[in-house]
Amino acid sequence: MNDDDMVLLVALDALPGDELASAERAIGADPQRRAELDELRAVLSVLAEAEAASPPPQLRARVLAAVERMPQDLPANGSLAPPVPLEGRPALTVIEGNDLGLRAPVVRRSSRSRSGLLTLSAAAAMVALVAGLVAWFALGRSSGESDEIAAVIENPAAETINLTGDVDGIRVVHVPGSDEAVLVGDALPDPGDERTYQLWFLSGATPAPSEVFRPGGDGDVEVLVDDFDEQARGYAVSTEPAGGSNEVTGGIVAMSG
Amino acid sequence: METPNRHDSAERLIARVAAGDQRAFAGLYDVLAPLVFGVARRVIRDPAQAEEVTQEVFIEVWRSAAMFDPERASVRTWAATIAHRRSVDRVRSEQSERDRRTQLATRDVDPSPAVGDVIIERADQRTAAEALSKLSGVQREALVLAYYEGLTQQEIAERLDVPLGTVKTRVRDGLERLRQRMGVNR
Repeated sequence: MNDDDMVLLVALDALPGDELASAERAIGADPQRRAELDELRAVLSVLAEAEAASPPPQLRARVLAAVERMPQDLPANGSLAPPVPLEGRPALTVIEGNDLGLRAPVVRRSSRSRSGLLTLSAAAAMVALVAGLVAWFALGRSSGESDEIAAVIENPAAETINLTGDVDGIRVVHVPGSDEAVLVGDALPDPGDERTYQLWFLSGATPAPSEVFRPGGDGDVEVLVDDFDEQARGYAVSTEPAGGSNEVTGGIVAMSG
Repeated sequence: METPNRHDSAERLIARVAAGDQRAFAGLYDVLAPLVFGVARRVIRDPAQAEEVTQEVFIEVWRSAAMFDPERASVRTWAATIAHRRSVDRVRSEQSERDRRTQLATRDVDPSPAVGDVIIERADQRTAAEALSKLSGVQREALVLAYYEGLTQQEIAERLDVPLGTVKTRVRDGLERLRQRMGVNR
């Protein structure tokens, strides 16, 4: 097996577990080969994108519940914590930090800035942990909208409805059996001067108006949806004049499937 | 209307996930789940096992977020890489391999999604499908067997009854054409 073959076979996960681990160590020690591997993986991700498919809605709850109390790995003293074997997982291949595009201590030059970053990361994780505990104890007592939004998004029972179209990145996170929902937008384009986005429930003969929203400077938005209609046939977002409309007047930019 | 780079959202979320932000993790799940589940389902075929592997991948993402290196890959590429590795691991386990061989023996190579599957029409997916359609038949066949079926190159050579060198050439040429089509950056 020459070096070119080795990089290709590693990218395709086409080696037996023991050979894969040694090949990855060899590639990790060679910056040029490592760059080739990273590029091949980027190309192969095209094949992954081509197969994107909606997972069952209930999987979200299981995944969120699984990580709820799970600690995170943090690089310590320049070494990565070994992966924790998952119950029932056939451990034919050990997934190591430097295998899969993670920061790799074996090839990383130690530097003050990087170690400072890691320290900050660890500190941030601790702050988040404490904040999370505080929020957990306070849950149910706050009436702030941000708390309500968090309660919906973090609810393990919540399901996600993706809206697609000319504008991607809009989804409605909804708690089944309730009228609680949050509209989330990632990296949305500015709807234009004197324009706004508006959510619609496709429930009756004509779309019923719901929340009006504009993304922040980074294009992100989270808005609590009042009286969410979970019985609607679908959901759509249009652009409307500032302040919103009682019926759709602008173009529909995203709709549920 | 200017179209922003949607991939930015995953990059922003991973930084918050690395700090232990579970709400950001929920957002990252929403952004990445179709990609991860799609890979797992395509490689493993069995929907229940694909769900299990998807969960494993996201646990890996949660645990390793602080070590993600944006200089080496985009978040989507990173997630796809983990998903593929976990999926191939799964199908190579003894029981899955036996079941899968039974299925493989009864059907031809099918590079298209199974009939009736719920497929998300996303911009990334449309672009990827278009790039794949530009490959020659033999290139696409070799890549399907190598990536989606998780076969070794020797196994592909035996399956197609062509020399090993021919398999390597088809896979390499196919990837090169994809790279040119997609203008891949990490």
